[in-house]
Amino acid sequence: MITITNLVRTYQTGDNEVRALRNIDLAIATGEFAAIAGPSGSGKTTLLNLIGCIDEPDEGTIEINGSVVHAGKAKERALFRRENLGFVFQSFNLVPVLTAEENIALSLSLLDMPAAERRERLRAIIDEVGLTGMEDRRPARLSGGQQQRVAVARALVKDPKLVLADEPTANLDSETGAAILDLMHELNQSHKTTFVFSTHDPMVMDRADRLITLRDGRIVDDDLRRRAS
Amino acid sequence: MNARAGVALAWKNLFRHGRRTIITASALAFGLLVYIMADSMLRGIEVDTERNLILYETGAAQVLAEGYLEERDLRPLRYAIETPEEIESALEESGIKAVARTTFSGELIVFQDPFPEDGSVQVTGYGIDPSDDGDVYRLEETITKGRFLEPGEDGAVLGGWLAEDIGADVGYPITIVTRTRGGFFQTLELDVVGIADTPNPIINRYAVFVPIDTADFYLQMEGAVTEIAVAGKLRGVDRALTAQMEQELASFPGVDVVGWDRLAMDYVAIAQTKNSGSSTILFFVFVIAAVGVSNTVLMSILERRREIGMMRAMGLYDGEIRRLLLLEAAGIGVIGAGIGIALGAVTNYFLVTNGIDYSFWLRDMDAGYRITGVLRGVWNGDTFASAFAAGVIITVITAMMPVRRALRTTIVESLRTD
Amino acid sequence: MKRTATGIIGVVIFAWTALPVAAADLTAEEIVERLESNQVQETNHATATMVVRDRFGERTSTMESWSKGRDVTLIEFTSPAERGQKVLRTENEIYLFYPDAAELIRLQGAALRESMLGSDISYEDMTGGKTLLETYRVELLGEETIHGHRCYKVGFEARRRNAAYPRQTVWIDTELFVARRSEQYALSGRLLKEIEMDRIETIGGYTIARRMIISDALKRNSSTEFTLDDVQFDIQVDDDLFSLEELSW
Repeated sequence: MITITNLVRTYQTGDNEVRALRNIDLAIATGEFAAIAGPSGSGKTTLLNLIGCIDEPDEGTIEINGSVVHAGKAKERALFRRENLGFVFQSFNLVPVLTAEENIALSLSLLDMPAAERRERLRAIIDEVGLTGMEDRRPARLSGGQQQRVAVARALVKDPKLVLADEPTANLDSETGAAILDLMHELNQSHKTTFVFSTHDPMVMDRADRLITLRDGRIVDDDLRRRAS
Repeated sequence: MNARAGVALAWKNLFRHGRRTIITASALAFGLLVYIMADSMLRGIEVDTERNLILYETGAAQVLAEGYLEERDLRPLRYAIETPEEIESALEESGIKAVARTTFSGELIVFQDPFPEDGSVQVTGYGIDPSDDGDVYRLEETITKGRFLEPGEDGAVLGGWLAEDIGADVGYPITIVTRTRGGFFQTLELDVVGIADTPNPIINRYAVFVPIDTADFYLQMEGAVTEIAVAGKLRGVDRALTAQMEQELASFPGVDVVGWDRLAMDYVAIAQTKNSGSSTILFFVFVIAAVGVSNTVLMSILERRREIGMMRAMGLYDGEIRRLLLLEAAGIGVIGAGIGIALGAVTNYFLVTNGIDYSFWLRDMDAGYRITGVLRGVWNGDTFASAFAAGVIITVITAMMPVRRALRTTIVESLRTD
Repeated sequence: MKRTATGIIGVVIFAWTALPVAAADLTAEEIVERLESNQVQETNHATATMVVRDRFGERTSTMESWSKGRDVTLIEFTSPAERGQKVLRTENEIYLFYPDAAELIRLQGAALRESMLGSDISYEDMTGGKTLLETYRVELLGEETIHGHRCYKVGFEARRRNAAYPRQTVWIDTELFVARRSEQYALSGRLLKEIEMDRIETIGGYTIARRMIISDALKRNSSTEFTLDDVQFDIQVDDDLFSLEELSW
């Protein structure tokens, strides 16, 4: 599904030049539940951003289902993300003035579909993530775990090909974090959606089907424990 | 993102920081309120001034001898209309009320006893026909002491402030030194028969009215007059009227038809100043709004950095984000403008019904406006509409800069969890 | 009051020659002719002081003047408040120059009626034109003594409407043919101005009145006192002095 060839990304911070990714080659299959791990500064967030088409590489290519998205213009990339990608962030990033349901509906509103289908999908995903009964609450009245469930629902409601999660459990306690990860794994199994997340949480690393380790911008380990079914 | 969702989101975001929104909107509302009030008062002044000019000073239009208008300030008697009766008839026949007057300038001289002290003051003399002057002018109604003029008498009606300044009362003798049409020095020995308090300060301060046949005799006019004034609309210049007059008088050589605006250039000049004054006020409203709105929008954007980044990551186009944020700004504009014109309507109601009493200040003002006492406001739909529109437009325009800056940040930058 | 005023001011500014005359019986016209013919000089250069009194107080100004014949006069003010201001009278026109604004103004029509420096003398009083006899019909009204001097009392009545004063009375010294007093009347008959001339002296062959006091008969306490401080006659005066270019210099 994802083919990365010779990826290079360098940043300028003040007078320093930081080589976040050095010549990464990577291939991820459809339906995989993969984690990119590494200490801070290893480049995992950068890699995720590049796969997520919200950043552009300096060298190399990223192909997602055959499309080299980063070659296009900003609006084309936005369209690609709109139709194909879902994001989950460590700090949830929900819109505080919208209810849980409205937050999830937000990502759906970017796509063209009849209202009935919209409602159906919303109901289904709210059920799947276990938020039935709480969909009318605003984020302020939801716990961290519930908020992340909303975020997951928001990412999945449009049935994307790929979900990218940047340290999804970082702001959750271990129990809640585990629950979220289990949820994402279930959805990965039931929807056949590819999941790629970055983490430095050992619990997460354990649950991943494939563990890619980065250090100083390079892949130092790539451990496929379970194949995607 | 569909329009409904967008509007709903923008609306909700407005009340995210309700107090901030209200404060910004209130600043805008205040600015617009000031604009509406100022505009209303200035229009009120205009309405009053034009009415007072037309009813007490110039009439709606005048017929003058050729050459008079250019030297009008000096009140030259040598440019006079020789056949006023014919011109008056011609105008009356076509339904236009017309009266003749002879205007002259002179020096009013008074002596101690019965006056408080010796004195002299430059005045404008108006020879009027007491029997029909009321067809065009309202002088007779404003007599507060004594009585109106009678034809042929050596009597005078003084403007109220003039009488007050020199200490005149009914029955006092006055002397006016002036020049005849040919140029001879002449004195008019008159008795004050009445004092008029008109709403027109120019008349109150400088006018002496005498019967026109008395003026004709002393000034050796031999039947000629300096102007024939006509009645017409009390607001604005009646071009239809002047056109009709020109047509009726086409067969009379040597006369010009002029609307009141050409006879009151000092007012016209200041009215134009007023218009630019209103625009200046609107400009300052813009500045207030620009500062307030810009700041509010900027703060809002900074606070929602990650949220905006998230939406962009989710696939919202930059254009959609821009529209969302500008819609929010427009929302502030609508609220502020709405409050502004609501307050403006309430305040204007009081300005129109009660007005503000300026009589104390206006006593010594000589700025071209013809107002004396209570200034009333005016209802003007255009002002409210333009205030509302300006409020919304101004807020949207001032929001454009912070929005542009927000969209220039990269998505990655926006999402950083620092 | 054109010619007459010039005649009267002329008595002071434009000096005249006293002609010895036999005390024969003269007509009013002859008396006036004598009066007028005494105003011819080639040239005249003088300095003068003008004191204007009204109910607000007293204002003094000084000036220097040059004239040639009866057609051209240049006056330049020398007192501090109006220093550099000039008045030029040519045969038919009057020009004013204000140095502060570098403004040159031509007076016409009703503007001539304005007074010079707030005095009782107007610019109109200074304009040239017809002779006294052309403007007025004259009548000998008798003889009276003014300040101990025997004078002819002559009445002037305007022939046409374009004189400023329809009627005047002038007392003319029977020996020196200089005016000692005059009165100006409005059409209604009311007395408007009184002029007294005194300090009559003979200088360099000419007999002149060094002082003229003009009083406003209607406004009490309003008068102008005009005094010749120094005067020279028939000296060399350049024609260029009376040009517009000179005026704005």
